[in-house]
This record gives sequence, C-alpha cells and structure tokens, in this order.
Amino acid sequence: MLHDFATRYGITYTLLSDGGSKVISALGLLNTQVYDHHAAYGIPKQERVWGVPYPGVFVLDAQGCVVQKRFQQSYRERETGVGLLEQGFGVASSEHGTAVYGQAAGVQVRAYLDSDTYRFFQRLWLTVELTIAPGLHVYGQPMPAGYAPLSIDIAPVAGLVVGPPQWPTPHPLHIAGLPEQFYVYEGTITVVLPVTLTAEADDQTLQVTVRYQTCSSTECFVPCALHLPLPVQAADHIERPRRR
Amino acid sequence: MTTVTDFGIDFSTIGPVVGARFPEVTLPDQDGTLVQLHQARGGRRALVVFHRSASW
Repeated sequence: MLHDFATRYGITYTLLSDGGSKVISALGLLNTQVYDHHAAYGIPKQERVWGVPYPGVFVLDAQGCVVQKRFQQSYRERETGVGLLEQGFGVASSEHGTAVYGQAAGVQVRAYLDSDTYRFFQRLWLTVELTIAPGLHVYGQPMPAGYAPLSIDIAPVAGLVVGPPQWPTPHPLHIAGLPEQFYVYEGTITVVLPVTLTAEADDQTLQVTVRYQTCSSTECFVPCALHLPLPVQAADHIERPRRR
Repeated sequence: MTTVTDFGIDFSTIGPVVGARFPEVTLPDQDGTLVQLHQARGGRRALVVFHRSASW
C-alpha cells in the first residue's frame, strides 16, 4: 500500500509501515481515543480506525534527541509539508502558494498561503509580508486609543477557522510633543497566522484584509485597508471525486 | 499551539519527551526494506511524522 501511495503522490522521503501498531504502542502513541473522537464528529464507530497513532511530529537533532514535539488533538488535523519545515525546523521553504500583492501609503504587501491547495482540516499558514518605505513606520500593539494598529483579517467562510496571528515584536517610539507611547514596525516584517478549512467545500477564495496606518516622524497617511484575494483549491476535489 | 479541535489531551507526557533520545525504531519502508531510524538519519536532523494511514 505504501509503495503505491508513494508512487501516486511522488513521495521520495521514507515512509514506514507499523504493522499491528507495535511501534506506536511501544512508544505510547497509540490513539486510544479514536472512537470517542469519531463519535465527537458524529461518525458511527468503525473498527478499522483502531490502531492509529495520535497525529504528531517529532523534530530530532543531529544526536537523535527530541528537540520539539508538535501534536494535534484530532486525527483529522494535519499540517502542510511547508508548515512543518517552517514551524518545525525553522527552515524557510522555497515553495509556497501563489503570492498576491498590494501597495498603499508607502507600504508594499505580499501575501501567500503554504500551498495553492487545501485538504479537509489541514492547517495552512498565511504569511503576510509588509515592506515599509524608509523613513516611515506602521503601528503595532499595544496602541493608544484613536490610532489604527496593523491588523489582518480574513472574511468569514463556512468552516474557516483562523488562529491568532504571530506578530513580530514592534519597537517603542516616542513622538516629541505627544504623551503617548507608541510601538511601531519599520523595514520589512512578516506576520503568519494559521488557517484551517473544516468544511468539505469546493475551491475557495480567501478575502484577506490588511489594515494599517503609515506615518513618518512628521506626518501620517490616512489609515488604509488593502484587500487581497487568495484563491485556494480543494485538493480532495483534484485527487478523487467528492464524497457526497 | 493553535488547534481547531480541543479534546483536552496533554501531549507533553504522551510518547517520547522533549530532551530524550528518540527510541530506536526499525520498520519496513515503502519498498519493503527494513529501516533503522537513527542509522538512516546518518547524523542529520530528522522530522518523524506519525500519520494515521495511507488509506483514510
């Protein structure tokens, strides 16, 4: 089965088969709650699902020691290959989904997902990169009332779950004559946020909105909102007929 | 870590723990060849992924 699977999907890394779930049992990774989890999703009990591991990843160092564990609560959830490389290893992948671009008020924005395709319950990472022109800054958080900090929103889609953004750390800025303490971004910054589509749906376009206010040391642009449409194709739809 | 479904499982104590050497594992690969994990790493870092199945 693994041979055919590897051939069909062009997999060149090693796939190991744990017949009888012996190794995962010995490691303590046998998912003993899989029936309960199936039930929680409203799926009738199926004995064939017994014997699977909890879904997760170990990052081993050169000595073979565990430096990181990343496990999912549910057998349904999974990460992309790019997500594992970047979140697990901290290695920037050369491959991502197609980028979309926007530009306003001295800031260029590039946004892309891990992949141009998604699978049911797969976690994708949305990356938003802002390049702020020299001499300008945008505001981070915390933010005094009345000002607009950088924000990233994705318009609701049925089944879409968006996790909290991972913001870079802004640096403090004091503006002469103003009592407030500001935190700002300059240069090029990258924000990532996890995105999961939990409905079995067809191809989607995620509508991403990036809001910010750009200022120099002496003046400000009006706050702006860039709308970036990010198409993402349903991979299951490509690989096999839809389950109805 | 962000998770979409939360069944309240604490994975810190499930399976090999952070800091421990990962146990040696010997299993057949997709060509039927027995692979020893640590030997196959050849002194390199590795990502060990546990996935439920190739069929569902």
